[in-house]
Amino acid sequence: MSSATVTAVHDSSAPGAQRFTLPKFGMLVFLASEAMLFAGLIGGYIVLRLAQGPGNWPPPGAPEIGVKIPPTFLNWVMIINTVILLTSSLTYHWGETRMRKGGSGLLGYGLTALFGAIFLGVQAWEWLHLKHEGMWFDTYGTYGSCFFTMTGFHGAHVFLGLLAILLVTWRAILRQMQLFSGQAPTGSHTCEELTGYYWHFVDVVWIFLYSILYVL
Amino acid sequence: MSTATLTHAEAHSHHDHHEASGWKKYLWSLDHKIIGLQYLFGSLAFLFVGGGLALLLRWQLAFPSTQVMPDGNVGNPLSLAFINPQFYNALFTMHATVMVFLVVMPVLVGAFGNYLIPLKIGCGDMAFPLINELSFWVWLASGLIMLAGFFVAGGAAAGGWTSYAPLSSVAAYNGTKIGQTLWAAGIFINGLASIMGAFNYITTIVNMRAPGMGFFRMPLAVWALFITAFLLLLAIPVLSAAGAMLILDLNYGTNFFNPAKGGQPLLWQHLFWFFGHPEVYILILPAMGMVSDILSVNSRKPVFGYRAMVYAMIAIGFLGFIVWGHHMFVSGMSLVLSAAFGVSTMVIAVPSAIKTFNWLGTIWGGSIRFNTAMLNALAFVSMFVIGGFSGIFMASTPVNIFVHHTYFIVAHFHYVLFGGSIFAVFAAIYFWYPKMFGRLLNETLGKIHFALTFVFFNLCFFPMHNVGLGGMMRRIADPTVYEHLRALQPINQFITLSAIALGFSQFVFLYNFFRSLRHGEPAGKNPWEATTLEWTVDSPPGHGNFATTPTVYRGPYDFSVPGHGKDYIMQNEPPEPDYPAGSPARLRPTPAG
Amino acid sequence: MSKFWRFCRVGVPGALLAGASTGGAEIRETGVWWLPRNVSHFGHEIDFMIYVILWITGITGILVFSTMIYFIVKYRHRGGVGAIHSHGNNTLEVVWTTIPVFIFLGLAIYGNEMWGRMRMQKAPADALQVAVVGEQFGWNVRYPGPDGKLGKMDSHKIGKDNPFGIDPNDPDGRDDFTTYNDLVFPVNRPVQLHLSSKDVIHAFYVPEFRLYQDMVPGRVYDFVWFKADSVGSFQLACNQLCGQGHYKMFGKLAVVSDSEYEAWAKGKAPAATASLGSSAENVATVNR
Ligand code: HEA
Ligand code: HEA
Ligand code: CUA
Ligand SMILES: [Cu+2]
Repeated sequence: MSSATVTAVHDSSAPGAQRFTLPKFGMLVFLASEAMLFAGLIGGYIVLRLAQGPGNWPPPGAPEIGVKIPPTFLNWVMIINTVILLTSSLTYHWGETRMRKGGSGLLGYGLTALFGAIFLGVQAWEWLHLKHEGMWFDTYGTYGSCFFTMTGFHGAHVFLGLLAILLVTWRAILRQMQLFSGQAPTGSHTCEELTGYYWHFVDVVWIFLYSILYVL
Repeated sequence: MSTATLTHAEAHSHHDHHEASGWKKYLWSLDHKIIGLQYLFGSLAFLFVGGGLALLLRWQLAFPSTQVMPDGNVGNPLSLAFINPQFYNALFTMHATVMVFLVVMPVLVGAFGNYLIPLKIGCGDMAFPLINELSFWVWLASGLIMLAGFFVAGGAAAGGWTSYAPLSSVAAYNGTKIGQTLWAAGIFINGLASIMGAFNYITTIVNMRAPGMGFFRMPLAVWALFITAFLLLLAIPVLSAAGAMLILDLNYGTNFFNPAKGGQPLLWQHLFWFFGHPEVYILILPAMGMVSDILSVNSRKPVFGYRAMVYAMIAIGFLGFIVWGHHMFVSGMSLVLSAAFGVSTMVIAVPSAIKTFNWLGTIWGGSIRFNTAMLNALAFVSMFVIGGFSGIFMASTPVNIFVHHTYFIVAHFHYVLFGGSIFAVFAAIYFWYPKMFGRLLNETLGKIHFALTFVFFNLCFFPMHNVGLGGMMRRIADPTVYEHLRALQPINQFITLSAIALGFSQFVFLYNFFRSLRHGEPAGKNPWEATTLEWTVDSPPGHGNFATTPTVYRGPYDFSVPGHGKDYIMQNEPPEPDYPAGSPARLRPTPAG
Repeated sequence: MSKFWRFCRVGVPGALLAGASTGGAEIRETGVWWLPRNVSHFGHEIDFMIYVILWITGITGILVFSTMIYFIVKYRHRGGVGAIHSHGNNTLEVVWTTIPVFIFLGLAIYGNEMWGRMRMQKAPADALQVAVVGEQFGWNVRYPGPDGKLGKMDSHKIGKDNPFGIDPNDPDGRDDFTTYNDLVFPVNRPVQLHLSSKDVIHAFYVPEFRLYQDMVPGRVYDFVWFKADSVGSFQLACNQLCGQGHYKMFGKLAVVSDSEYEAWAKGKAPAATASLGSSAENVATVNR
């Protein structure tokens, strides 16, 4: 019965949630496109890196960013930064759960915004640090090009995500104020859900980027 | 239950935006029909820009300004002095860029995709009207950015529409740093518009079909646009990534494509063609879908092998992602890889064969009405077949060693792109114009336009096969500098004259188009006696399309059903209890809703 | 030639078309509508393949178009005659899917077998080794000297002053000689090319050899080889867009008898150690 399944996506349990299925669906489809963007970048990276042959990556003299044992200072910074970004996904999720249960989710969202900002800040610091060490878009052959372009694309995504999270946080503040004045929070959760999808996606991309740029 | 949800979604889109009034409506509207028309007018305008560039480049080929005459005099009395070799390169680069990104893609996907999807699946608008309108303006901006290249220092990008690195990625080699950057930026921004459209279409088609409109009751035009949207979604971002690398290489000293610093020129080609091959199917699939509809309506017969058609298009979509290497057989990439791509390319011709035979099956036993739309649709089929045949030559790896980068290829892709896509666009315009503007186009003018276009198209592009096999390279500003090509010059001049005639034939179309807006015969709801949902509403449809959400009871092509008075049954016509047993109309399950 | 003639030549293409072969100064040996003459050993096979596909597509085309025209005429709308009702036929679908599958797979396998022989098989040991390196906008060519050995090319060493990427201390390279835009090949002897580029991508294209190969900078291609089986003079064309001078990046190419080749080669002085191609003028001349 093909005809009966026409609007399967609409069939979610909570009646109020129905209105938001279209945007959620759309966001997921859009993220498939984003995934291909990073697939293109990562594919290019793999080609360029393999072309260098073993032992030439990173090229001699380039600042070390790869994870060492024991880890260097820079290693630690980026490990912690990665943990911070991943944690921000958890705090976001926590915020969403609180929000669904009738809370404001402010703490969760606020922490996410904070972690996101820290991540970007550290990333910016790393860029400046590496630039200071002589590595930039145009140095060390394709090594510099790949590193800065890929982290740059990701950073731009984090930045956009952070803007969305600031919006979400602002909405949480409004909800919290309603709670303080004794009302139950009103309004839809679409904005939060969409931002959540996007933010988790950006985190997953970082796992890939971290693995190939720093670990492997 | 599902019905309830749907009307809800629709009511939602109605209340969100009210119809704007007057001219404002045509600048900023959230109505998919207006956005479709914006795309239609935009891309028709660009057709004349792209065509104008083509005529200029053809002129140079026939009467090169660089030519040295037999008597030793430099120059040619008929040549245009401002077309120097660099400008010639810019001409074909921008000609192709305009035609691909600003004409065929937007007219098929932007104009007809927008106009037809909601009307054909029975909903009030796209899922995301705001993003839809945004995509139009972003698209327009991308076009202006690319064309701005003509007015900057160094001129427009001149590295071919394929912009192979390192020619494109090193300013010292191409001399068009700004133009090339604008090109890449334009491509990137154009991609944003495409992606916005793509996820909008997918969301709409999956979620907003009217009750009873199962996937296998969707008209093939919708199927085609659905599959095209997936191709856009997955192919375009890869080009965006490549474009970003190109901009960085060109302006910020990165080394992605710079062999001296470990970069790989072939990386550009792989990324470009990973996008590029799906792209050519993006340019033909919607055309195939719309032509299927038009053939069926005008043959008064269901599409032959509807499901085979759907599966063939899905197969084209999938296989389209694994054949890109056929553009690179002789680029020096791994020879084993070339062989593998040769096989996959041959395989992808199979679904096209299936489609061709089913089109023939569709007109078989029909009662064919030869209106202008039908003539253009039939021209599409035959020209696509010729273009496909030349594809087989090139897909054969040894033959490609000879014909690569010759006019044989130029002939191939104009047969599939003009002979295919553009004829389908004309067919679609003649077919859906009455729905869009409430008036019919003039049939006499339409047939004159068709005949002129068909004849001059073939006179223009068929000889290119011959000069290509004769050894003429593409992308050369002056063939007469080659001894072995000088004898071909009369053919080149003939091609140019045909191209000019082809170009000027389009004014008949233009005249017809604008005249009929006011003076055309009123069309009524369903001038072609077609069955799909868009023909159940007024022409042009009102805001929100359907007064009440239609319910669909049957497939899209119930023509000439035996035992039924009319020779067509609308998709929303409920089954009558008294159909003779065994009639297909009877056998359809009735929807739950 | 008179002004009048000139006007006719460019202004009256219809008349010209008739006088195609007499009007042009050069007479193509094979007419203007079809393949140029072929002089290479693999070229015959490529031509054969073209004819195979031409026959297949030709016959399919005749079938498709005659069916189409027949249907168009037979099933045109006539009063009183309705269309038949049919949604398709699965047997037919299977038939017209299977037949093309076999045809196309056959073509792919046959084509790749040929491809394997032309591209993946090593050149015979006695092949003359010739290096051709493209640059904007001309051809650097390097021939082995009396020792018959070409200096080893290293793509990393290719640069402004060293178009061939030769190690100056390589003894094989000492007696090599170079030319610019001028190639001579002996007939009936295999020639193996070493192709590369100094700047952008160029392509080695000689239609009479049925031969095209891109030359991507940063690599040296040594898998292209051929054997010319008759003498003649041709043009080597660059067939990959390489910038504003692309359209006139061509070289003189002659296939001559063995003795003529030897005589030609003897007259050439060994290149200077690092072997500089004389590429000075070419960038300037393309700016009109
Ligand atoms: C709408 C666009 C479109 C479409 C549909 C196609 C369809 C095909 N193309 Fe084409 N192609 C282009 C647009 C398109 N192409 C463009 C723009 C370029 C050049 C880009 C550039 O370099 O600038 C190009 C270049 C191109 C090349 C690279 C050439 C080169 O640079 O060396 C190749 C090589 O394999 C190729 C092959 C094919 C094949 C096999 C098909 C097949 O899908 C065709 C299948 C169809 C048929 C075969 C006809 C119908 C079938 C039958 C009637 C059945 C029976 C047939 C037989 C038994 C033979 N194309
Ligand atoms: C959909 C795609 C499409 C379409 C419709 C066309 C249409 C035409 N193309 Fe196009 N072409 C390409 C896509 C397309 N082309 C691509 C992808 C390339 C490859 C580029 C590359 O190598 O990078 C190419 C390259 C290309 C070349 C090869 C250039 C070279 O390699 O050196 C030639 C040469 O003849 C050519 C000719 C034409 C002609 C005569 C038309 C005609 O059909 C055009 C007919 C004209 C009109 C429909 C408009 C009529 C307008 C007027 C009469 C107004 C005139 C006004 C003004 C002057 C402003 N094209
Ligand atoms: Cu060198 Cu074209
Ligand atoms: Cu392709």
